[in-house]
Amino acid sequence: MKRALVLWSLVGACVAGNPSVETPDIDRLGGSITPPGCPHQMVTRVGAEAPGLPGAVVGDDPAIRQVHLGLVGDPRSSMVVDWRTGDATTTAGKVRFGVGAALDREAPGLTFTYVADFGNGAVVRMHEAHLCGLTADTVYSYQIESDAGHASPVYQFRTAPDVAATPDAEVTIAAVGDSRDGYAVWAQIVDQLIARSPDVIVFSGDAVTLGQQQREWDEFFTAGEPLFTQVPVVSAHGNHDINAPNYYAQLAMPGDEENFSFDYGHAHLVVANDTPEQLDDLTGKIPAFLTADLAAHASAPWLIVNHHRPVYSASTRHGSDTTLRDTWAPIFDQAQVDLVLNGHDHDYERTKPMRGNQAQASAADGTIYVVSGGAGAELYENGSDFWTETSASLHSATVVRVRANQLVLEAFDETGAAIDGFTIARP
Amino acid sequence: MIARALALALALVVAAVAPARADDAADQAAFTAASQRLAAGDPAGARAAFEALAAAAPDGRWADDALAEAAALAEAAGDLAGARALWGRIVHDHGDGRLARRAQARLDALVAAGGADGGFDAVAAAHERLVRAAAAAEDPHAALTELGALLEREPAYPAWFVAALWLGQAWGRIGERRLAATWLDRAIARAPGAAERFRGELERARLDADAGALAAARARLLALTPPDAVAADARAELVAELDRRAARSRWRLLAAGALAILGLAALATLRRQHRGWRAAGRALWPPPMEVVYLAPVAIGIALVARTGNPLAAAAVERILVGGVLVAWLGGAVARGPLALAARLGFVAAVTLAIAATAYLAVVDDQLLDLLLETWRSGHDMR
Repeated sequence: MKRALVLWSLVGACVAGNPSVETPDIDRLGGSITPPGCPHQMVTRVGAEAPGLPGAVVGDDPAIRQVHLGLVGDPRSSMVVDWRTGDATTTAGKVRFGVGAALDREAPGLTFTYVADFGNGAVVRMHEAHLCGLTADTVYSYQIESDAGHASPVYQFRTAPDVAATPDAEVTIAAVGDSRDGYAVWAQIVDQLIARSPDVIVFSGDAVTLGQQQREWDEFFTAGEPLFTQVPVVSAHGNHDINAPNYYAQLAMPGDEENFSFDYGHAHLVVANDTPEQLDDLTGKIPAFLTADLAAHASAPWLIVNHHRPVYSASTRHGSDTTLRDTWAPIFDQAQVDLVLNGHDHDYERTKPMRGNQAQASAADGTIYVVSGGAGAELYENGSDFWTETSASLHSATVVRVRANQLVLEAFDETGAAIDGFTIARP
Repeated sequence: MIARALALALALVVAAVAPARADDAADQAAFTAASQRLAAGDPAGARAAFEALAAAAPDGRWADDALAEAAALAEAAGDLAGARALWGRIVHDHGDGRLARRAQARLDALVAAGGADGGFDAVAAAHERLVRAAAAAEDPHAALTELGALLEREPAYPAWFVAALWLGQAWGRIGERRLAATWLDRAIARAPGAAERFRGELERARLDADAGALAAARARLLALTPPDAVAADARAELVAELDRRAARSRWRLLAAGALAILGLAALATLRRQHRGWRAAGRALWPPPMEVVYLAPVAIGIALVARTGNPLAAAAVERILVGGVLVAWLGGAVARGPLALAARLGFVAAVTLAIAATAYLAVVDDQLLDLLLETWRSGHDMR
């Protein structure tokens, strides 16, 4: 009995001595909240605080920075606005928004923090407002306010079209990736994307070289701000993003933010993480997700998949990922995916239509794989193989213009010069 | 009475809507037909069909869509005046539509390249064509030379700086450093603003660095005044990269020097052991047992390596060749009489030789970066 008491007192002392509540890191276990007026939840992951409603604290530097749009709910009726403040103590924040030039509605800036640089760096505060109940295919203005003296410029975005109401709607999807360590080129790519007026950006990963390193994220979002304030961005996780808290905290994306899908215009977009924390997921959980999702959306006019590592690449640097070719490509074949967008190799490459690892004569008979990993990172040598339609060692980005019966891809370099393009039309 | 009024109203609504639906379906069919012409490789026919649709149903749902398709095809065909007119019609006639923002963005881009009055549209079209040709060509020399000649002829081209910068980079990518330097210098001299000048200088520094002139590149960078925070970061990154390359260059020199000294030391030891160069030479044949065992294994490893990443395969081959040479010389030395201290020195020398060989094998072709990246970020999972 005496020994038991001693043991329990030791256990009690250990628990009492464990500073779990007081240590900020222990608090950052993620959490969720339902944004006011929205049907979806906002979720943060381990490494970040649970999101909360805005407070009244205005710190010593509440200036609004790195504004960018994201998607969590239905893109026809919602939009997410993310921003940072110069200090980590400011909890106040809201977004005023409205149709056209109006700013007659408000959404609170939900807020949370995470610790950068492997948990040893500065505390970073994020603010995230979810604008819901929007009308499809409509231009909205918005302005962020920390307090009366600190407001952003007024920006505009357009919601996704409801194709039932506007069957002629065309949407432009920008596909780009691998900006890491090349933010001067990335800024040029951003200018070229703005000149093509995309509706949504699907980034193929590797925005930064080391996902935990905040300095690079700051460069990425600062250089991208002219585009990101107008157009929502979602990303496939890249190997350099390293499943870092910074990645998931700063990008607002649907579902678990790793493997998700959404409809945008006539396209069904699927995003998958090919560098998951659990490697078994590559051949288990993720193929199961892809199979189920693509089967559930088999009637979508266009199926587009975005992930980081190329299924087909003739670059001499990384080349094709044969694991993905063996496990994911048969799923794409089965679902008759139209287009797969990859990065990882820092060049541009487009395959012939592929099915069963064989080149096909027509896009109707196969999936076209595009590597567009030239958003700034040091270029790799391109190459050629039996699947190669075209390849070039150039900085590049692509836009995919999608209609009900037509898909047009345009690839261009950082100066805007066209480097590739194709059209698929259907009856 | 009320029922009759409702029926009449319904009939009027149906009468008004039904023809519109029929027109809409016909327009959609016309749009689809034009798209199929494009996909079938007939861009001129597709453009004509899109323009015909826009003319036949200017108020229809598909009018702005058809105009946008026609405008994009006009741009692709180099008819920039036609593209301006078509994009302009979207902005003017369909300003509230989804495509208006894209149309305005394209108009802005065309004005930036071809001038407000379109006076340089033909030059812009030629520029676009040559860039596309250079990107597609196996050997881009002809297209790049032609682009250079175009820029010589058109010094007032609004996009001259952008084109010259691109040309300099393109020459640099194919190893034509003199031409690259010439065009980058000309771009810098004609940069329209501080940001553009900075971009040009940054590319020029990269070219110097690629030519091995690391000190010149560093000096050029440090003399710059970055116009904004992004530029400052870009400069800092490039300076850090130059410092990394300089450090690697020093290590490469040290490794090569160490290998040379160790090789000479091994030969000198052999000469001392065998009392003369001729006898020392005879001591190298037949090869030591280590080589007899290692050589076939090395060939096997090299063949297996060739099935994977070609950069890694080349490095593996260099390491194996170096390893066989070290084993050959080292084995020959080890066969002779060696004091205990000399044996310890021998082990250290062989270790150093292997380390130097491995470093020299991976320091080129960015392979060292690839290894570091793998070390930091995990293996490639292939």
